[in-house]
Amino acid sequence: MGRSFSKILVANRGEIAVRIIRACREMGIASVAVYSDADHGSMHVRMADEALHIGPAPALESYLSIAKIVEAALRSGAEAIHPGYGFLSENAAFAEAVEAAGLVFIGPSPAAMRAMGDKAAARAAMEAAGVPVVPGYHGLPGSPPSDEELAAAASRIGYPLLVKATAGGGGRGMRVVTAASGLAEGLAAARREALHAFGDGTLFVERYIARAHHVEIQVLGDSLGNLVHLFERECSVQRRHQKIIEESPSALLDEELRSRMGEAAVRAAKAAGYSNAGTVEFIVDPATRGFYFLEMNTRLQVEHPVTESVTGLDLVRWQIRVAEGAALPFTQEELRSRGHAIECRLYAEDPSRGFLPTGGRLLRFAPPSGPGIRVDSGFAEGDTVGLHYDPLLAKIIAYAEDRPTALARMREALRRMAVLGIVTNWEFLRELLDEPDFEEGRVHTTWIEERLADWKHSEENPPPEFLAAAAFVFGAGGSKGMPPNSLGQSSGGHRSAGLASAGSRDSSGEARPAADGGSDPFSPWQSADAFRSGGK
Amino acid sequence: MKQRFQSAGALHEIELAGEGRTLTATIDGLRTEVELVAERPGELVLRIEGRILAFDFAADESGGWLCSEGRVFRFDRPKPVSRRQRESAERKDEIQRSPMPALVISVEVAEGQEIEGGKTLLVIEAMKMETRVSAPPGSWRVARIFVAEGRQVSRDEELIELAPRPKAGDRSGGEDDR
Repeated sequence: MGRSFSKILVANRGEIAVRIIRACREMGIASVAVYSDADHGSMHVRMADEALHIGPAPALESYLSIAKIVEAALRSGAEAIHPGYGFLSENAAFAEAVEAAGLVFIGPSPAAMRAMGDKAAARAAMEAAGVPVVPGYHGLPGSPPSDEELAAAASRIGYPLLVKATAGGGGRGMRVVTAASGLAEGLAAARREALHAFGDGTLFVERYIARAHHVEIQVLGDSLGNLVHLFERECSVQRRHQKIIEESPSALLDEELRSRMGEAAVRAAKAAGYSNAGTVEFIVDPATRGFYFLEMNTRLQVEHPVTESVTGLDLVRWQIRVAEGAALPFTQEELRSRGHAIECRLYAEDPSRGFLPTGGRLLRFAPPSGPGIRVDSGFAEGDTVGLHYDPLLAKIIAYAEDRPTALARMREALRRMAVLGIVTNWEFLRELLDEPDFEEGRVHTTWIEERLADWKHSEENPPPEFLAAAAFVFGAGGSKGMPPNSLGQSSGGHRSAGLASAGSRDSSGEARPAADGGSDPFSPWQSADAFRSGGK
Repeated sequence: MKQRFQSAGALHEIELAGEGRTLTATIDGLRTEVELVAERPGELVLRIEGRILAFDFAADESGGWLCSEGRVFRFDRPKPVSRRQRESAERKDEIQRSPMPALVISVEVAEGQEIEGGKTLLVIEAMKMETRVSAPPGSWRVARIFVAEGRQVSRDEELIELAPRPKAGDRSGGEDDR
């Protein structure tokens, strides 16, 4: 039943726009990209069937402009809009504007978005639906709590305390306050950030659970009232509430806790009248194995490929099918999670400098490949990563029959890939994967701040083989005198000086016999693990 | 011809000699044979003492990056140090620069103020995230403030200049901390 879309506008950019366009192409649906001045010629534009310019680089005047995006959709003749994640994806007014224009919003109903969008109201609704929530205070309905009320609530709840913005998400407008003396500053900082990011400075407070794990449940519902969960994702490897590594299943959960959390997530989503794909986030206290509702993200998540890997379902395809009116053809009992998936987020940010966004030109980008390896990226070699938007460069997903094998696959993928020209968290990711706490599934949400806050790019001297390679490719000698088959001509316009000092005007190409030292036991070249000494 | 590269703060000297695919490399005084196995845009494969070593590289105006097995190194051809840079380094002044394009949200110190390491100097915001710029370890006097609240700054733009402030009888100690 239902209709079939023939054209969908993708109201996003970067890897998620590319991901959605791929699904459209597979389904035989034409795709329309939108782009700002900063994204002229970017990958999502290159991949789409049509592309419409919607304004200048600042997101407020382009990707966050409801009027421009709806207008572009109408102009292109698209029947539906997929919002991706971020930007307008959780904006109920946008979903309403899309529907008012006679188009389909690929996502939940505006009412469900509103029910979950106000974090304080969502908490209250969850309590009513019997979903456990963290002890906290969010004022009376309709009246934002004053700082005095929050302070009074804070002393009742106790410290450490979490200050959060009701309109918040992605860690913005959120502060941990460890003692009463820091509350005023915490409230001010969270409010300032929330006002800036969301235009709404309303705050609430809740108990901060130390060493908590972040475990979320994917849900998927159709418009006929069928709603299932697609198991969990363990997302505790995060920094300042920005996730870095996600996996499924979670090493923390057993079958009993898994099914209780799944049922709670379904209850939460049904209480909000939810349809389409969404995620119910919980925090799990590893000490008590209690779990608490955190919030519901009323959209597709960045880390959705993890769930796709273990369930075999294409979430974007199902988002589209459900929006077309299709009924889910499977029941909860028929769904299984198989194997283990891990996702690493490659960010254009510098872990040595407080994880600040870097940006620049992707001079070399060779993503990993091989069995069980998936890479979702919005950039290709030669592209520029700007500073206007999210610093996510690529997601690398490894899937295998069990966690140790998936981990080995991910480690090898990160060893084999290359990303140069932009400072990224690549080496940080590699070292993270080798941490015993990660290997044993003990990483909690503040673990990185506690253990790796001072992480620095290793400033060790390059091993001699790197110096030899540098002499080959970065030498000052120019391309003259290069032997046959050498570098230079084909290197895509980059400087590639070639065998600078080889001095091989003589083109005989004859190899010199080995001179000396070939079997020196003290030779640095013999150190087999010189290459792998970086990560423990 | 000898080539010199700066990497991780140290200067290295490499000489490649010979013809064809197998060359003699002298690297910081150590000699070995290096065979060029393969090369493609952005990729270089060498054989050194029997081991196949695959590199990815990207070159720019001043040098470039090399990576292999997940390790990345930056190489720069050395360039002469200017007199001004040398003098500033000798004075041990500390200029705090903006780590990224950002908006100055607040300035938390005043010129002439005496502060200790860790003190928040100013708060900047980029990509909707606030970042505190703090004084490095040691004792300082705020020599100059180059920016004001509400100001848009670019990457590496000078924000605040700090002059070292000797603690009585503890001059070198404070500086060694840096």
